Amino acid sequence: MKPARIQHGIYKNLPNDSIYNSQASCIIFALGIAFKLSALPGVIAQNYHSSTLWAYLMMSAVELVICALIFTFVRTRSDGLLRATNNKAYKLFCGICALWLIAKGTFYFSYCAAYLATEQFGGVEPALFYLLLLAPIIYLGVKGSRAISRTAEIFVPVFFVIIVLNLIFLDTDLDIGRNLPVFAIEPKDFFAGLPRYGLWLGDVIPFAFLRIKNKRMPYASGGIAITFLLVNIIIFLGVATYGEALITVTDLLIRIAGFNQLSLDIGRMEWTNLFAVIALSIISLSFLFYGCTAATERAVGFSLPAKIIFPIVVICCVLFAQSSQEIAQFAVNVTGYVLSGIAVALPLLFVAAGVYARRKYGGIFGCLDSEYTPHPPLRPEAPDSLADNVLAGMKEEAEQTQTVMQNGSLKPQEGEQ
Amino acid sequence: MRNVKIDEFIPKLKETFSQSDDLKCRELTVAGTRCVFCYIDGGTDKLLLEQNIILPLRNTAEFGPPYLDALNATVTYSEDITMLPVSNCAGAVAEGDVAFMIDGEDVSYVFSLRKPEKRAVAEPPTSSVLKGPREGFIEELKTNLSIMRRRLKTPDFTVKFFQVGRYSTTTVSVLYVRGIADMNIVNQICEKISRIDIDGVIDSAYITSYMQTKKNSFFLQAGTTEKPDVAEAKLLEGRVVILVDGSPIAVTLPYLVFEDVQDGYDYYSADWRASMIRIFRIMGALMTILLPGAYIALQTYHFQLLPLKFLMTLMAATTGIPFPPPIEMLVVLVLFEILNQASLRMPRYLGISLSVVGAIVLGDTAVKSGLISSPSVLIIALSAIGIFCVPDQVGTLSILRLLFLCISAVTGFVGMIILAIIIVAYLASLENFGTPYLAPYAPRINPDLQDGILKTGTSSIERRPYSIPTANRIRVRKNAKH
Repeated sequence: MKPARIQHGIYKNLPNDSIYNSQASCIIFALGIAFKLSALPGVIAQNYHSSTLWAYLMMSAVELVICALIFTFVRTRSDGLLRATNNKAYKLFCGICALWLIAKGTFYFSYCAAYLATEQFGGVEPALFYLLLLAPIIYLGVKGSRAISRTAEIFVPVFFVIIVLNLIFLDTDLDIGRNLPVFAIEPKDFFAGLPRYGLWLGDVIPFAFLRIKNKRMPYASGGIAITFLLVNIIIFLGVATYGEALITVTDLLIRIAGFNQLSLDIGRMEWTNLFAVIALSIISLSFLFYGCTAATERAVGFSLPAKIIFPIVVICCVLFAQSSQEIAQFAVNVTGYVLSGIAVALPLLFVAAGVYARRKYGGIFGCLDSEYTPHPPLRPEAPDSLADNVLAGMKEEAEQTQTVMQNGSLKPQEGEQ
Repeated sequence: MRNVKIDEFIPKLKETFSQSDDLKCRELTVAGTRCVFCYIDGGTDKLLLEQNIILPLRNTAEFGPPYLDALNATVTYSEDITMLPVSNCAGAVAEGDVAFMIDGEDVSYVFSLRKPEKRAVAEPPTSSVLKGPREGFIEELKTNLSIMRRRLKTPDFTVKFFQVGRYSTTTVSVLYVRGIADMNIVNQICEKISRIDIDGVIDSAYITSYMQTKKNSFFLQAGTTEKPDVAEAKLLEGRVVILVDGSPIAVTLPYLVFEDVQDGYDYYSADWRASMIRIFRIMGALMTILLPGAYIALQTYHFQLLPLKFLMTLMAATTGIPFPPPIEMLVVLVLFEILNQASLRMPRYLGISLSVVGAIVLGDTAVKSGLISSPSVLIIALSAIGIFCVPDQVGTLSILRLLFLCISAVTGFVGMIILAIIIVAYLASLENFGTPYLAPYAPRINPDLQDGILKTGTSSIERRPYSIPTANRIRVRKNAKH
């Protein structure tokens, strides 16, 4: 048996625009939980009644397709190729993507800020609250994917455990039958109405601008599966708990935590999930902001316009918005259909552009990829512990002797260490 | 070659030392040749000088050029005799060496017979352990190096010396294990040290400030320890240790924030016990930072979150207090910090009196008089105890506590959450010699979690931490594992 050798020079500090798949899974969780369970349940329940869960399942299916397309694009590593070849169509797609992300970020921030400022933290001056909320988003967005992914890696496992514990200790009068009938409205209206919730689709599109370094485990796929499973479980429990009253629920994640067996002993438990919503929203919004800057950089060559426009648009909209309901209603009108169209079209266009680029510029892909490879070359000949305590200059000889001994061709003499 | 006369040289040397009274110049005639020994009184081992250098020279009958060979043949001295131009020997004398000059020679012969005063090797007051090695570093560098040499008996253990400080010429040593430490990091550290241009290095903290990647950050960017066993463990993990003459505190690099949750005792006790202690340390640190702020937020903004009985007790305890909760808490916190500083600087025999005054007279009387509430005192007391769960982070934690207290007074929990995210985001973007500051949790490095919050057995940790760049990852040989 050969002595154990491991790869040296494993470099844990990935460059910006590169993240691990485990970090990607944390960001996906933040995006999925914060976006899908705030505001949307009540908005969907208004039109879908007992079919809310089924509408969610349909949306999850669409979102999974978008995830698959985006991660296919990421796997092809075509982003670097398209940038290097100065592809004009890709620039256009990125420009559209940047605008779409600004719209999405603005709606979401406005809703989140208005809802939290008026309904959860009424004692805090709204303007101060907005600035407070915007500060970490801008900081993280400007710092880039590395800071966002690491922050998500710290917070997401904590909040995942909190959310799961809140579900385990759930103490409510569940009526599973409230999820039936499947079609509370006509099937035609059911499917025709779904695209209006486009604001809540395509959260993973900024991943297109990242390189994902895979660890052994399929963390990203696991993260997607767990996130959508958890979202649909919470919706299922939410409909079973509230029924038609779900229409008035503004944030299901916070509300569902209110039904907790431990509330009488240790106080109201909504705040645990309230913390989760705030933290996950900040991570999600900063990721959208980062996506916007990355898309702008690809479209016009530098990211400064996005870094200026995004915060200004966001803060202006939130200052002029009357209430969170008003923002949500605006998002599900014609705007919703447009956003839906873009959310579905962009991943398709990215994949098409990627495939085209790989076919057309396949010859230069190899050298381009090595140019973009962030890791220093591995050092296969680096020493290992077998040669510890051996005088300098004699290590190689000692290693060879050890190898020969372990292969069995040279047995150590009795009593020899 | 210029002949230097002793009669001309000695006044010049005394002038260089500003006629300092502790500069001694002892004349001697060796086999008819006029010589002089120059040294600083108190810094030289006079017994060795007398017995091993002067006595053999007095008794010799032959003494002539070449003088280095003559000295080597005559004196009993184990080290190499350094030759310096006479004009340059003042620096060596100032460092505590003995300069030997011969009339008519332009070269001085320097003997290193330094005898610095030092205290005994003892357990460091800040790192007491129930089990495990009790020795600690002292202020004398050579003793510290001999302790490390005794622990790491390998030729790969390397020490590099640097002289830092224009006036202090302090010896700064960089320690690493060749073949384990990443030489890129060693070179970076050596380069940074060699670039330091300062009048004096009083303590290793001076060197630490030059090793920081973010100058204005109040988060530690270098690990410190007073214990040789901890320094040894860190060297074996691939880190670099810096020892400074005159300081008992070793600096370790690269630094991860999680290091301060680990302690030497963890490795000498059962794994489950170590894991439990680490969890309590983290809880203590979090309690220190968050508890005062959370109390203010709950009392001012979010009292509806509290259980009814708890709320009623709290209301009863805080009714009639003239100050708003944030002001009250700030007053108690400031009082505590003042007492803390006073107790550190007060003569020990007055310490008990201060405890009585602080705890009973100030605390109890203030509560009874209704100026401050007992929950506030309790919260600050808990926070004050918790801070010492992670003693190296006392400075950072106390600043964070104040920040959280202030923001919760204005915005309640929401501000605390946002501040927490900003702090984590800031820490996530920090790097220390190419090492992510929050490793092994962000980025998560699974193999290193064996020695994370939960600790597995030492024999199970087969690899050196992936968080630290190293040239040699294998720690436990599989074929030798029991």
